[in-house]
Amino acid sequence: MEDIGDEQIELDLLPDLDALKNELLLKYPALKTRQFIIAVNKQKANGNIALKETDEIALIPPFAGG
Amino acid sequence: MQEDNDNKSMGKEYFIEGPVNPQTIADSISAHSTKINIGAHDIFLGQVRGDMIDGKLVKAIEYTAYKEMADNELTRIREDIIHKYKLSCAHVIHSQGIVRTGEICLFVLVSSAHRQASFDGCRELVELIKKEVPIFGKELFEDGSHQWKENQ
Repeated sequence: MEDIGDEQIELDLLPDLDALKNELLLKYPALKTRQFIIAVNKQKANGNIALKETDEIALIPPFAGG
Repeated sequence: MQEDNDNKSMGKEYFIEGPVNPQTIADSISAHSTKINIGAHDIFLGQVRGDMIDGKLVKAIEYTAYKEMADNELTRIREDIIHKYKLSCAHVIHSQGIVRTGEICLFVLVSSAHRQASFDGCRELVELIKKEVPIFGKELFEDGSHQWKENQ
């Protein structure tokens, strides 16, 4: 993301998606003003879900296909 | 029901680099002439629009995708629509990289025995592509600046 300057980051394991969101917003306050959805292992995550160490999390900006 | 295999779910490539060439569209139509169960095709073409935003003209859109997820979503959506409308086949090609204003960035071709299924299937497939597939568009302005596009 342009706002946070990093394309890829590694974080210590957090128990679930809500904890991860809080951590990201602390680290990258610019995210607060941005719209995004979260995908876990390339699937859109709905609600709070438990995380495993090897999960790939993506913050996905608004779609613009077509 | 016969289902098409050139747009197979395994290893299907939906993305091409740069604009969709009109010849690709013509070739795709010709490729269906041997499928005699088809009685109707519906085609959607997305074209890059030269929007004027805050006095600046969009000269191109640079498309990127969260590729693996986009491929998975396209496969899922396409198969759902084929089953829902009992289509003979459905094809999707989307650009990645730079597509200039006036060029084609999305090609959807839906085929069925009768027209109603093609109309309905094509429309819903296009709507789902815009809503569900992680494709991003950077609008490039004439003055070298840019902004990220968002589907309406």
